Amino acid sequence: MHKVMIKRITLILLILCMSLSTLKAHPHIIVFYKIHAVFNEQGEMIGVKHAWTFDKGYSAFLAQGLDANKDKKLSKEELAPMAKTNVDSLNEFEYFTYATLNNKTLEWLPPKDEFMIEETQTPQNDIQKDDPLKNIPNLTLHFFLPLKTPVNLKGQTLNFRIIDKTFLVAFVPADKDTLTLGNNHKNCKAIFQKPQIELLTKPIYGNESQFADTQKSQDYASRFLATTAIACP
Amino acid sequence: MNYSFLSPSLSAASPFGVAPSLNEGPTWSWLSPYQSELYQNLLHFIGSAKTSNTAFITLCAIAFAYGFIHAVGPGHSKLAISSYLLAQKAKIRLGIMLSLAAALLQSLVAIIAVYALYFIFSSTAKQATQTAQMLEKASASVLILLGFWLLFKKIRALTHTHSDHCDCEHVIIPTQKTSFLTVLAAGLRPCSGAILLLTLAASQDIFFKGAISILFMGLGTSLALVLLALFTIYFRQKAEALSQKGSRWGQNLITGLELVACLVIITLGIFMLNL
Repeated sequence: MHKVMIKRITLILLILCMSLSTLKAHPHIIVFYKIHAVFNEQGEMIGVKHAWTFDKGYSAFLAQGLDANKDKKLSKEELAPMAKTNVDSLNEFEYFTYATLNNKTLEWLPPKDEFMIEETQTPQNDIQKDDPLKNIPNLTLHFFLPLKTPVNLKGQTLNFRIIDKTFLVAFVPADKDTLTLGNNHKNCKAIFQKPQIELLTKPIYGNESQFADTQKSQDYASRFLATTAIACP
Repeated sequence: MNYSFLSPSLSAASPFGVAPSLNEGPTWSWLSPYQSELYQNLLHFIGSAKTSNTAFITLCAIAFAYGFIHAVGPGHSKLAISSYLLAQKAKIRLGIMLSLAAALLQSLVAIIAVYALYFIFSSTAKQATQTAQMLEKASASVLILLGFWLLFKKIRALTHTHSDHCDCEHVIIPTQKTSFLTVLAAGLRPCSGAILLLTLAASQDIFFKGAISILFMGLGTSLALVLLALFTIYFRQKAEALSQKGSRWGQNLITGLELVACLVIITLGIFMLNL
């Protein structure tokens, strides 16, 4: 009897430990992101311009009660306070932007020039063209994220990771122009590769072995990551 | 459930400043992609349900599945109910009733909150977020109250002298008051998915259909809660059967379990309060 009890308790503890170690939330917010790298006259990168388009569910949530003049459209002015709220909260999340150069992570200053607009077009990977939700406008948050110190990328490769490490927000690369370079980039190249496992853009039910394999992977989230990099000669 | 104990940097904040408590419902990672997909489907079918009845039925079915899967992982409602059932000698019927009531309350809170916020107060996302946070704090406060109440009852039972009745059991039994508190603690805090979904439905002028689908989601949740409650009661009964054989080890185990369950409730409440 004791042995059975001990077995049971061990089993329960095991289940508990397993569940605690693999705690993951599922995202309620999807962001379709675009990055535009900005360079100064000397050709050093000084920061990135982000354009983050929210999925229709979260856009509808953000939009509620903001249409002050009731014209069924949200102007930049009506959305301005929301844009401010958004960027003010990003600090705690490291702006979800991780840029590494020679294994060193670059540091950011607080965002500037934030604004939000209503999109006229749905991102292709949000939902299908004939979706009845297509009339709900997606909202896009724009802001400039300055680097603490400008970096010279000559002969180096800068890697971007746009990710929520807690998996609450799913960052999905926009369907095109995910990474673009501004003027004075001195022949640098924007490299973009889709993630190994694409969330939302195709069925992700997969087979069981795929999930077992994913479980084993140390960095679970990395499977969902795109490669976004700037390579400079 | 709050994430703060897993990664302190997260605290109570939500990434874009507004969102109905995103620090919620962690689940087993292998379920995450399924959930994500289901959630996207939910949003999709809210759109189609406006004109198509078939889509509406599908919406309810997906909502039910989502409710079930969402509730299979560890979360505050489950922890509250199972700890409550573990802390005392409870009947199966009570376990089922608690689970149903908590899931129903959770759905109703979401429906009433979004209705009031969207249609009566024309609130912004910021106000909606504050409301959700307030409900979370209320839920946490009830949890702490419940935990201390049970702990107090248990300690009183343990220190009770044996002279007036020879019943050597020190177990405490659920009362209406503590069961009511458990339902409040488990159900007051609405699921953020439900709030986002209902807001979307409201913006599409199909709030009523959205509300029905949320009730189905609640049914799915309650099914998972009932299963967990049955498992908890079964586990406790097995442990009790062991202790009745006169083994001191078993008796101590029961007392230990009960005390730990009380402490789990209090700790969970404190984490959710995020003081």
